Amino acid sequence: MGGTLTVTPEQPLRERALAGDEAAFEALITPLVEPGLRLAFSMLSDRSEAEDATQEAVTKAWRKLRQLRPELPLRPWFLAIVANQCRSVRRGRWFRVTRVAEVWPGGKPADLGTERLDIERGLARLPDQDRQALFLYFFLDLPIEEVAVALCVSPAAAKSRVYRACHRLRPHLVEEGV
Amino acid sequence: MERLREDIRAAFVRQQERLGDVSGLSHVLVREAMAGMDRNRARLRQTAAGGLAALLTAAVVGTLIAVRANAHPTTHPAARPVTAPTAAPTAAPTPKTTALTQQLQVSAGTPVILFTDPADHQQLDGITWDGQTAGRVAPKATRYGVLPNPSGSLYVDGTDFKDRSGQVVGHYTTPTKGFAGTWADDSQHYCEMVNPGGGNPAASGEPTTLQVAAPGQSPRRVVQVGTVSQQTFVRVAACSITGDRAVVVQSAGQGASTAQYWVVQLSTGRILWTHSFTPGASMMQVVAAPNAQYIAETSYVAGQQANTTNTTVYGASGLAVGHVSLPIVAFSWDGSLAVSDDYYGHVAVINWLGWKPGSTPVWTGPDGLVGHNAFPEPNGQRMAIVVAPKDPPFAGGITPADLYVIGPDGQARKLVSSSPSIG
Repeated sequence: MGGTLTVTPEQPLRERALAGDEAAFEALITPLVEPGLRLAFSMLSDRSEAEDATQEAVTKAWRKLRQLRPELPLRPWFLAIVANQCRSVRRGRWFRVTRVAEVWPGGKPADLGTERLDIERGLARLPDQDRQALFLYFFLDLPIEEVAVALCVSPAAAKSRVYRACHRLRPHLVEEGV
Repeated sequence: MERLREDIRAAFVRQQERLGDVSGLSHVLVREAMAGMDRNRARLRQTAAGGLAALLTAAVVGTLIAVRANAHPTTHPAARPVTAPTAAPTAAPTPKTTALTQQLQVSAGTPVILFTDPADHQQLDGITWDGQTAGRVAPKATRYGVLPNPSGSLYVDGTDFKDRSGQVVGHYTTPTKGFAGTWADDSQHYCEMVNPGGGNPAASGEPTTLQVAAPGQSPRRVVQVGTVSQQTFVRVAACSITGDRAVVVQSAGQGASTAQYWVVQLSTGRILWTHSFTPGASMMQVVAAPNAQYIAETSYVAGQQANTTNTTVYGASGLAVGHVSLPIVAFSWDGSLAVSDDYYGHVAVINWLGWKPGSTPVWTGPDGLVGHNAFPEPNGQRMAIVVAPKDPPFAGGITPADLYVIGPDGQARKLVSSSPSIG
């Protein structure tokens, strides 16, 4: 884990995309779509809605590309757009709040240890922002600086959010910190 | 803390399993998103065109009034016929509204092209390269495409290897994000890259190993080559059992462009030769012929449009053997022909070896269609090219495409219409 934000190696592609080159934009964005889709699914728990949200995020990323500061990496910026799009969907009247429970069905209790089952239940009870922080940090393996960009908070706040979420899940295991 | 990290990751992995197979979906979503924007732009153009038409009408009326007033007859040069070096499709099957019901009946050694039935996206169909025989193969595990070997005798459906009758002949168990293999030219084996962390490599990167496997058999390790991380990947561009070599390609950052590639001897694991590229100098795309004897390096120079490209083709020993001012995306079976696609609706089959500026392509794709896929006839000269409208109708993330088979003489046949996945 760790790492710093630097000028990214895809800069020439970005320049071409900024100049209106769709092929360059597609080359940049395509590797980020699966992480975006997985983030969307973790928030929406419905594949078709996750696909729609990710596709819409791709559209917005293309339109907002000029707003991306050159020194910022594309990945967390795109994931932030995905997360915002998912929040919009969830605010929509068609979204069923019960879906959060569907995401964490509990599976086959016999197949899971008690602690793992507790983790899943604990994750389901976490505030959305805390769960997203864990997803970005532990599942997508984003460095904390990118988690911060994706959550639109400072690196210190992102670290604090991950720590707080871990503490809620396993208070006795978080002594080492994040 | 490490234990908690693993438990949280495991919980997310379990949750994500419900998402199902997403291989190939990234390209579909991006294409749909970009196509949607094209549609919006088209609407704007229509609106603008409407205004322009009104202005033109006014101008024409004004001109007619002026001509009548002057009573001078005018002559216009005859419209010059547009000549295109295109071998137009010679056959188009009747649009089909019902799924194929008759089982595909061809000999085991006859190569076929597998495709999703246009009328039933859960059904896999097959058609011979000459288009004479078509039929139902089997139901599919998902609505998405399968990954067939060159002859269409085996394919990957989800995590299963299946034969042409739909029978499971093996399971894909390598811990990656899905089947990441490249079928070999013998249609029996496949090459794949594996790493210790599987689909979730360490953020700092992990070494990858090239191995050769066959459905139902233990894989054979060839050599450790390349690295994989969260932002880069390694793929096998060609796997030739008959030629005893494979081409392993390492992506650059964010998965875009190419950092390096290696030509590897499969029997010994020896690196025969390699090319590496300066990061950020240009976007580099690497494509290999099925026999791994020819490799095309297409560079997109930064700051220029994507259709101003340069391709150099390298031969078996790593020496440059040809230059083409077009991007190459696929080779024919023996590598003598290539498919060019600039992603802007210009798909063509070219004879790259004799290519000079101003040369005529062997075949040029229909206007308004963009290339989706291209693959060669095994042990043959024909090329299959899958094209779809640049502005396709929205169909729930699925883009219906057409299949053309092009002969070395440029004769083309449209064998399949409106299938969501072909080949």
